[in-house]
Formats: sequence, C-alpha cells, structure tokens
Amino acid sequence: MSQVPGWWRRSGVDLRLLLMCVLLVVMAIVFHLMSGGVFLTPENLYNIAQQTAVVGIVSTVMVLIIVARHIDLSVGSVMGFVGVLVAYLQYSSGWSWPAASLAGLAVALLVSLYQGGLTAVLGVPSFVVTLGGLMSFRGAAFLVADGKTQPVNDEFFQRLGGGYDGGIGTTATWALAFFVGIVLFARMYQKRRARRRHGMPTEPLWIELLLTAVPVLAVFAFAAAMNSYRISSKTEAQGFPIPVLIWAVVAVTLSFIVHRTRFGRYIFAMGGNPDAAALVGIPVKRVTMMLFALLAVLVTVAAIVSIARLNAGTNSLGTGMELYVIAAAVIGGTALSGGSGSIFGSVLGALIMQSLDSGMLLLDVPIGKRMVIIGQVLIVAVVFDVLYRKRFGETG
Amino acid sequence: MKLKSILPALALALGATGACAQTVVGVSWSNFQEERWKTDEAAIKAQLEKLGAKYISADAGGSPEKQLGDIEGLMSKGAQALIVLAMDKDAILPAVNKAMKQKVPVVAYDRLIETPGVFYITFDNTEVGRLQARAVYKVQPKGNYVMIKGSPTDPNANFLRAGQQEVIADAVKKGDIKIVGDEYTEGWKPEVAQKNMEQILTKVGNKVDAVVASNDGTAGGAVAALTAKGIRGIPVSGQDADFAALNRVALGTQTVTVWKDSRELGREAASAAVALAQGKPAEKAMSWNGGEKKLSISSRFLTPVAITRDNLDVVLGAGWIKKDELCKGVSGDKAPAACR
Amino acid sequence: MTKAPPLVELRDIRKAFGGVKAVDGVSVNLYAGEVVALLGHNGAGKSTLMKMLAGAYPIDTGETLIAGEKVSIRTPSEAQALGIETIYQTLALADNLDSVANLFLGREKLTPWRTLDDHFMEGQARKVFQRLNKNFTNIRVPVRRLSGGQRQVVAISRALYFNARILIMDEPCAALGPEETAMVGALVKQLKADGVGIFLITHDMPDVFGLSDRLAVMKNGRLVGTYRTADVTEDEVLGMIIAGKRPDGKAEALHATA
Repeated sequence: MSQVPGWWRRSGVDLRLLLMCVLLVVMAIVFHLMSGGVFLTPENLYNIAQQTAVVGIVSTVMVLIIVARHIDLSVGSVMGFVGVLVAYLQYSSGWSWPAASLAGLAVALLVSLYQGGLTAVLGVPSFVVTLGGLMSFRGAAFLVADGKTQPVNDEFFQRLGGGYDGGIGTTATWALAFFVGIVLFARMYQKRRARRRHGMPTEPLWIELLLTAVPVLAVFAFAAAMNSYRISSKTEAQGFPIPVLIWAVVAVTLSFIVHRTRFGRYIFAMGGNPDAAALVGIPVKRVTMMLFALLAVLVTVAAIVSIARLNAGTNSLGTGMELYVIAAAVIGGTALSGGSGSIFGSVLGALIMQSLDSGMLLLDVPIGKRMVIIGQVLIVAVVFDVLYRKRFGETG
Repeated sequence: MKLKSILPALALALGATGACAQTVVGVSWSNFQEERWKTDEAAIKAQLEKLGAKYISADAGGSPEKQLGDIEGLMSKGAQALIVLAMDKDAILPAVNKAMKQKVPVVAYDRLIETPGVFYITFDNTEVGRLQARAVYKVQPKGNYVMIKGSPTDPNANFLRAGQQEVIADAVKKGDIKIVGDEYTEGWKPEVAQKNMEQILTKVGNKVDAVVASNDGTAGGAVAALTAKGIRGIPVSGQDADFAALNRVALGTQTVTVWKDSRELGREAASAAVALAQGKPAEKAMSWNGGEKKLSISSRFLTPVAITRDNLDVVLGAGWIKKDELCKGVSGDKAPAACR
Repeated sequence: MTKAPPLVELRDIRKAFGGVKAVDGVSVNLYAGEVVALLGHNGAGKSTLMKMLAGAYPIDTGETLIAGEKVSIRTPSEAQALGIETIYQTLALADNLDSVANLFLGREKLTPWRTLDDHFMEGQARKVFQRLNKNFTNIRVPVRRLSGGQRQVVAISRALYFNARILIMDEPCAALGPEETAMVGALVKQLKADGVGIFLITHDMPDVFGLSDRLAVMKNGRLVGTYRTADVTEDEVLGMIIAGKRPDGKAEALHATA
C-alpha cells in the first residue's frame, strides 16, 4: 500500500515522471555549470530540441507497441527507406514534396500491412518479423537510389526539419504559448464541472490551479527561451522549432488516444491480459493492425523531419535508431513485459538521453566514454523503475 | 615426329592449359552503405573479366564478425586470391593470416590490414588529408578550424587527420589557426556529423571559420548544421567526389572534394590480385611502414586529385559525372566554368 | 401446463481440437430461473462447452437455441448481445486497468464525439459495485491491487450491469473466503428469482447441493447424465464424475423442475 496523500494520488501525477523531470533539470544545471554557461543557452536548447525530435516522434508510438506486448525493430530501417524514397522522388524524379511525402506514407503503410499482418493475423512474433524487416528494409533503402545521397532542396520542405528558417517566429510562439495556457486552464475548469455534474468529489481549487500552472509555466519558459535565440544574421528570433511542434502535436495526439479513446484502452487491455481481451470481445487482430498502421504514419513523419533536417536522404539514415527509440520508451517507464507505459515518459526519456549526449559533446568527452555513460544511464533508469514498482506497487 | 619436338610441344600445351584454368578472385566487402563502393565493384568486375578471371564476393553488412565468416566462405568457394575491404583492421587479422597460411594472397583494399605478406593498395590517404587541408587553408589561412573526422574504427580516419595536421601544423603553432573542435563520426554517418557540428558551433558561439571534414557524407552533415545557423561561405572539405558533393562544389557550399577514381583503384587491385594468384609480383609495389605497428608492407599508392570549382571539368571529362547532375540548381554569374 | 421454451438449448454439440474430441455430442438445456450445475473432471469439456456458448470458440457441429430461436454465436460480442454473460474462472480482468475500465471492457460508453465517457461509466460503476459490496470504494486503482473478493465483485458486476438473461459462472467461489462465498450464494438466489438462467461450473459439492436445481455430469467430452439435484446423492454424483456410472433407478431430468 502506498503512503502518498489522497489528493496527490487523485491528481494523477506520476511520481516517477516527476522524478525524471527533476533529473532532467538537475542534469541541465550540472552541464550548464560545467560547460561554462553554455548548456542552458537558448541556442543549445534549440539544438537539443531539434536533435531529439525524430527519436521522440517514433518513441511515442513505440510505447504503445511495447504496451501491446509487441516490439518493432525495423523502425530505423523503414524510416531510412521512406526517407530516401521521399528525397529521391523529389530530387531525381522531380515530384513535388507533398506528392513525394504521400508516396512515402503509402509505402510505409504497405510495410505496416505486411509486418502487422504477419504479427496480428498469423501470430508470428513481432520480434522475428521486424528483425527481418530491420535487415530487408535497410537493403531496400540502398536499392532506392543505388546508394547515392539524394539532396533535399525544397525550401519549404527544409523548414520541417528546423534549422535556419525552421522556427515559427516570436509572435507565433507567444500566441501558441498563450493558446496552450488557455486550453490547459479551460480543461481543468471543464473537468471540475463535469465531476460536479456527476456527483463526484473535487479537489480544492488552489491545488488544481497549482497543478495546472506548472506545465503552463514550463511552456512559457520554453517559449521565452526559444524567443531569445536569434541567429546573428537575422532580425527576428527563431521561436519554436517546427520539428518540436510536430513532436508536440504527435505526443498530445497519442496521449489523447491513450486516455480518451477505445482504441487506446484496448491496446492497454491487450497488453495487460491478452486472454481477457479476447474473451470480452475486443477485436484484437484489428486493433493490432491499426496500431502498426499508426506506427507507419509516425515513421513517415519522422522520416520527413529527418531528411528535411539533414537536407538529404542518405541510405544510412536511421541506422541504429530503433535502439534509441526503445531506450527512450523504457527510460520513460514503459515495461518491456507489456501493459504499462507513458507517452509523456517517452518524451522525457528521449530528452534525457539526447541531453546527456549533447551535454557531453559540449564538454569534449571522447566518443568511447560518451557511449559507455549513455548505456549505463539506460540501465540505471530501468533499475530505478524496477525498484520503484517493487516499493510502491504497480501503478499501471 | 621426333621425341625432342614432342616434349616441348606437350609442355607448352600443358602450360597453356594451366594458364587457361580460371583464376578465382574473392572480394570481401565491409558494408555497402557508403555509396562509393558500387563504383569500385563495377571496376573490379570489369578488370577481372578482361583478364579472364572469375569474381565472387560477400558483403559483411558492417559487421567485423560476419566478415571473418565471409572470408572463410570465399576460400571454401575456391578463391585463389582475396581482395579485402576491412571493416575493422584488427578484427580481420585472424581470417587474413589463415588465408595467407593457405597460400591465398590477400590484397588489402583501400583500408590497411597491417600484417606481413599483405599487398596494400590504396589512394595515399595521408595525401588525401593534405589535399583537403591545403584547399581549405588556401581560402582561410587564419581562424577557428573544426576537424570532422571519420569513424573511430577506420584506420583511414587517422591517416586523413594526420595528413590534414601536416598542412596546418605550422599555422597552429604560430597561433594563426586554432582547432576548436576535433570529433570522430560514428560509422561516418552524416546525421552524426550534423549533431556534432551543431554542438561544436554552440560551444564556441558560432565563431567557426573553416571545417575540414574527412569525407563528403560528413561534409554534408556539417554543411547542414552550418546552414541551419545561417553560416554560409566558409570553406568545407570532403572526399569521394560523390554526386551531391560535386553539386555542392559547383554551388559553392563545399570548397573541395578529393577524387579518388575508384575505377582506377578497382582496376589495379583486380590486376594485382590475379598476378599474385599466379605467383607473380604485383605491379609498382614498394615497401612502406607508415602503419601503427610500423611493419613493412608491400604497398602501392595511387594519386588522388583535389576537385575544386576551378577544375570540375576533370570529373566531367573522365566520365565520372554528367553535366546536368553536376550543375543542378547552378545558375547566374556565380556559376563555375564547367557549368557555363 | 404449457411450458415456455428453454432459455438455452444446446443440441448435440461437438468440438475437436486437432484429433482430440473436447466435446462429443453433448445436449443440455437451461430454463429461466433455474441453476444447472455442470460437473466433471478437469478436461471433461465443461469449460469448452460453456466457452462455445459464450462465443469464445466456434462450434464444430450442433445447434444452439436461445429462447426457442436458432442462433449462431461466433464472437463474444454476439453472445453478449443475446444476454449471455460469463464470469470466467480467471475473471478475464485486465490487471493494469482499473475496475471501471474492466467493468465496461469491450462495451465502453462513448460521448457524442466518440471519446470514452469516463464520468458516466464511473458513476454507473460506483452504483453497481455498491450493490455487491458497500466497502468497495477504491475503484480507480488497477485491479491487480484489489483483493480476490473485490476482483470477483468486478467480474460479477459485468453480469449485473449488462442485465444478463443467461449467466455462466465458472468456479465463482474458488478464490473466495466464506463471507464472500455466502454473498455469491445470496446473489445467485436473487438472480434466480429475477428469472435469470445460470450455468454453474463447479467442483464444490456444497455449492452444487446448495445452489443448483439440476446437475449435468460430463466425462471425456460426453454427457453422462442430467438429474434433478434433489434426486441424487453426493456419492452417486461422484460415481458419475469419476467412473461415468449412472445411478441405478433414477430418472433423468431433461427438462426443468416445475
């Protein structure tokens, strides 16, 4: 039995996620001091936000895949395949970027139909299916352009990857921050009203205001930081980088799916007890196929952001990415045994790993040591999660 | 017929038969992901066909362990000589030593395998590094330099860096050049180079005047990072003369790419392999001991060519790249001579 | 006296898994307001038979009639639509979800915007849980943290909330203490009075003789016999279960007791 006070438990704040936020803040402060005041500069925060976005986008849906007791090892290869294809269609075949992107999406969906179908309908373990995909689609990525790098030159398309013109500007950033603040407070008010209407108890107003204010303040702080980053050759500050906005939209959408739709609930049910899910009539095969299709959509989005950022589609794009994506999900509290995971956790997990890497680069830590440290941090995070579950019980 | 004339005729016939038995040459590739190796493969195949030899190959997909198995496999398929592009120079030694014990000569292709008896054929990688640094130094003799190196497991990365250092050493000592960033790039991956470059730029407040990148893939990543911060016009080097890079040289976003006509390398390696398989020495071999272990290795160094906007016609003339691919997006009076 | 058709009639049901005949030509029926106990060794086929009625497995051959009408039940949803609810031995609960989610699992109430109507479901859940256990208040924790009795409450509540006409209970009291067992007994009596028909799979003799009106014994996939509970003794029942031996001189009860 946990000893946390009633209002804390009911507020729904996950202690683990809170501790991860604290860890992130502590890490940032330590790096800032050690790097002589460089880590927490708007420029570096802009760097890290962009660098994390691609892994972050795919991590959100990897959480759901793992929750459903599956895994997808092919995400890096499929992202590379789709990325090279989208770049190739633009550069070598002269397609417009919307047409190329839709073609990439179609290909990704076909891949998900194939891999998801084998997993859901035939019951082949997803580990095996996607392991094959890991190898096959890396080869496919090479075959698309015969290994040749495909530059990405469309100016609008490049903005999707961040960079020079990839911020939305100061006014839009403040406007967005205000909008988010209003939405969060409105939601809080709406929830209170709904609970009253159904005759259920509500918390004291000041507690709810405080809990809502914290994320709103974080958003404003981030907006302020992004609005302080001005590239010297420009007159206006960058504002939110577009890949981060895309990542945020993805995270919010998936969070909505998890908490507010049947599809999301069925994923958790299937992961928690696959037999029970079948016995109560959940259409397990259909839900699994839809989940893999969702993965395909997000892999396409990640591929687009990726090639836009690098300004090129290379056949080695995304090599090894699957491990970082899974690590971000796991650090964020997703259990590899299924049934339990958090979208927001994957956001924090991705940020923690990338901040660690980028921070160490600022400190000129040599490559061997960097990799050792990042690997050990992953283990520490999982150990912490295991101990937490033992101590406080499974929170689901 | 007299016995005296039969015997020499027989010997000649037997000798001719022996020479007509096809020489089998096995090629062990490290991984296909870097684009240039396709050209090498085509050149090796063409030359082997011309010499009447047979081509068999295996691709290790980036795995040093798999490459060991690949080499054994090639030998059991009857390879009489091996051409090896080593993924990891140290991990490959057991397989190479085993091959040589079984009298199968080994040609170390482009990447050094430091063990006695190997024939090492490459472009002079230290010279490549020198050419890269020289071209950048010519444009920017003073200021902050960033060195974007290759993969930490590839010995060529260090040869390149050494060559680059030779050219700028004096300026560094004098204080004209300051090296503000010096990072390896895992797997030569462009997106890793981009991330590293971003962090270096942030670390030094974007005060970077030149980037010596060790190949075109990493150069592409570095250029993407620079453009993202609005930094244009600083010299960037590269290697491989891949089409995207040549285009960048024509557009002016990359200063130099060192062209190693891999067709020449493939051709000469194939000839050397066939010669060694037949017990003959390789052409133009010389003794060299510039490796880590300072062993004396039979080697041949081909000459690389630095391609800048002034001599783009060289790659056009050699049939390496077509004009429309080279000059994509190049327009106006800033265009280089080759594109007009 | 004209009899209403049985609530459930299973005629000559067969099911094989590979070469194994799990259910081999079993016919059994259930009338409104009665409890029929299904007895037999492990592997006798009782759970398989009931799972087919619940839509978890398809029938190989045979007919199913609900209130006199022929039906074909292929999925759990189709069974639920006919008013058939099941309380599985394993309870079929998703441990990582809370009681409210489990109550409505597979049959969630949606808002007009097709999102989950959590408030409605929570309110309804509270009411139905209260009927069974006044002390069960922590309905928002994952069910893995509940006691065996509370988990049973959640499983039973599904049947109550969705107004089962036909209830299948598989070993309902196996994990329960005496107080909770008594509660289940009282519930069964209440449901009988409401006209619900109940199939009760159990090994527990006190439950059989205390709750059921008729009993049917299966052995190796076949039906040994169906009798009025009041007509047979425990020894005779055991004889049927273990040896497949029908009791001498007792008439079968193929229809409900009046």
